[in-house]
Amino acid sequence: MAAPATQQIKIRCNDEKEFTVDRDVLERSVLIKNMLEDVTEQQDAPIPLPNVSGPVMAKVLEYCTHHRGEPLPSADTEQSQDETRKRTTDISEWDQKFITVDQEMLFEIILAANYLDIKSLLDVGCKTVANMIKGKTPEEIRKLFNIVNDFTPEEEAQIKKENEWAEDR
Amino acid sequence: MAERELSQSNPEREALLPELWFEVIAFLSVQDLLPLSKCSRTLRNISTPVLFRTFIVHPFAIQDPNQRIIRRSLAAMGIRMPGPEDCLQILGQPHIAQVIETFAILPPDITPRTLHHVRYPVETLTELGSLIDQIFQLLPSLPKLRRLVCAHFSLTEERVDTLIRLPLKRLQLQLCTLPAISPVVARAPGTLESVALVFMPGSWDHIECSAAHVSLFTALFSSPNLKSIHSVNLNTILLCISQSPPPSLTKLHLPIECATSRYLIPALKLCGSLQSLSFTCRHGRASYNPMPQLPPGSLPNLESFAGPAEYLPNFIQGTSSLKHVHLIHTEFVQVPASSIHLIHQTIESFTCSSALVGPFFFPTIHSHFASSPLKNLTLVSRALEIRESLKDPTLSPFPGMRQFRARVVTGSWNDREFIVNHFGEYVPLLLRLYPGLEEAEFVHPMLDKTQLIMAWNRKEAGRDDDGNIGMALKVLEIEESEAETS
Repeated sequence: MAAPATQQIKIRCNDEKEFTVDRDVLERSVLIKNMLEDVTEQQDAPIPLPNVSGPVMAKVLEYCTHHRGEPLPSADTEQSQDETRKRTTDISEWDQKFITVDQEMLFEIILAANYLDIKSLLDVGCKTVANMIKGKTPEEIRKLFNIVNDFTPEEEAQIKKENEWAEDR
Repeated sequence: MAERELSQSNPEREALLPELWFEVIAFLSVQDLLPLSKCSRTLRNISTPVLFRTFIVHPFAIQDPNQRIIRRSLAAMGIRMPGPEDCLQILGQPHIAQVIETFAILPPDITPRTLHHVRYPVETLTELGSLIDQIFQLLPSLPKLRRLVCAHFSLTEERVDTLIRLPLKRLQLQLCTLPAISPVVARAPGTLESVALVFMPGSWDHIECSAAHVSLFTALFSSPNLKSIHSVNLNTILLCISQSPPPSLTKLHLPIECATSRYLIPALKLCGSLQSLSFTCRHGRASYNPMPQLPPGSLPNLESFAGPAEYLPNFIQGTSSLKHVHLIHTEFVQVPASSIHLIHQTIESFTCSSALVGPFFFPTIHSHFASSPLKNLTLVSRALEIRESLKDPTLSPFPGMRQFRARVVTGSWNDREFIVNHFGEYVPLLLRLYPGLEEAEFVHPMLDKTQLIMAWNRKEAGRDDDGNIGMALKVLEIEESEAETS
């Protein structure tokens, strides 16, 4: 039933850049996996990925190649473990090195992981952003992510009051 | 003004999309989320459901002169500490009221997480009765409320009447007093899935059947979806179960005194759906009174037992479906082999809680379960030092074992590096004994109430350049988890 591991798939990014990749590597992306399952016969035309650029795809493929063969998280275990699992922001050594990129690339990778539906890569990216936020003041966070403060002074006072009641769990 | 500023923001360097911020904040604690929630309206809206998922109020006056002095000097410096009354204003905000899932009414300085560990000097507390009444009037208007935690105040007839009608999934009542006269309690809505009850300290060995307790618990247990009852020191619970047996009950946790209660067998006979039965045992106790005989076939679905070895035979008679056994050994001596020999060789997981793990522990386990499906072994001990036992060359391997866990309850070490190195030495020893091992986990408490978790996982460990299995432990420090009621 399963396609041989050596099957090669062609993809085309939004900047016309094309990649030819082993099917099992590409299938780390649930989006592409579902696309490939829908296509019954061998197709030579590359799969168009209009939301991902070549340089970002190269990075994503580097990740998928390193993690090929690892079990994919199943949808339901994910849900039940959400509370406990998500609290840790530990990132493995290889992933840590992999995600050490400039902020623009980091956001691009997160966007691509979200679009391509690669849960583990999305987690690595979001954990990295979470780690960047930890220990920072609101002003530092705004600067870091180019966020505009759109609160009125009254709203800021109200938030301060409300936040006194925010509790962990 | 805000709009003008917004239009100035550079779209080229736009921050993450809102839906991706949802993913990011899942990795942040409330503490780390607070500054983020002050950044912008969008981030505020994204953070609010997490910040106020749990809402804790402390509607108590403290007769502590120090508190008053602290409050006064803070006020002199222009710092205002929120008083318990301020919660009403906050709860009046629809965007907060809409997101509250857990509501806790607790004495000061206590959270649902620390509730079980704290013995509060109750005599210094006075509940603010009218504030609690106002809070109870608000509870029905919280649309997402699913869990209520109450401690150290009186459940008047009106409050019981409100509480019983809330569409809760989980309810925890700790040291709440009930009125002397039995209230007329309405039937609980069918949503309730789990109840945890702690009442009346010091009445361990008495069956105190106040009519008010019986009518409240009977009403709670009538929920058709009730799956778990956790009771730490209340024998009355058995009477209530026999009066109103919850049809879907799968998990029952009882104080050990219940094991010899005359209500135990009648109650258990009505709990045919029960899958897990556990007893609270206190260390230092040498022997247990005999437990009445359970008629064969009473608990056909029982998969899991946790309690003293003396009571185990009662639950493995006949065609037992028991898969998980947790022996709780409360004496300060090594686990006797005879206790292990009581366990059927059909179980899949075995947990042993004991102050001491002697040199005969592993040989007994390996020989007794040699041809059994046992694949999961957990040791819970005061100070765990099993390295020498694992090194024993005469100990034969046990190929079926997949998971090994060791949990130190009160550790005396506090040097993180030393602890990690110590448990790091276990991995190669375990892999010799358990060539099929998939996971190993070691938990050690630290002095600052955090827990050091060291984990090895075959899949994640990979192989080194020479093709040998990686032995490195993944180290994680977490806050002490919520008490065992979850």
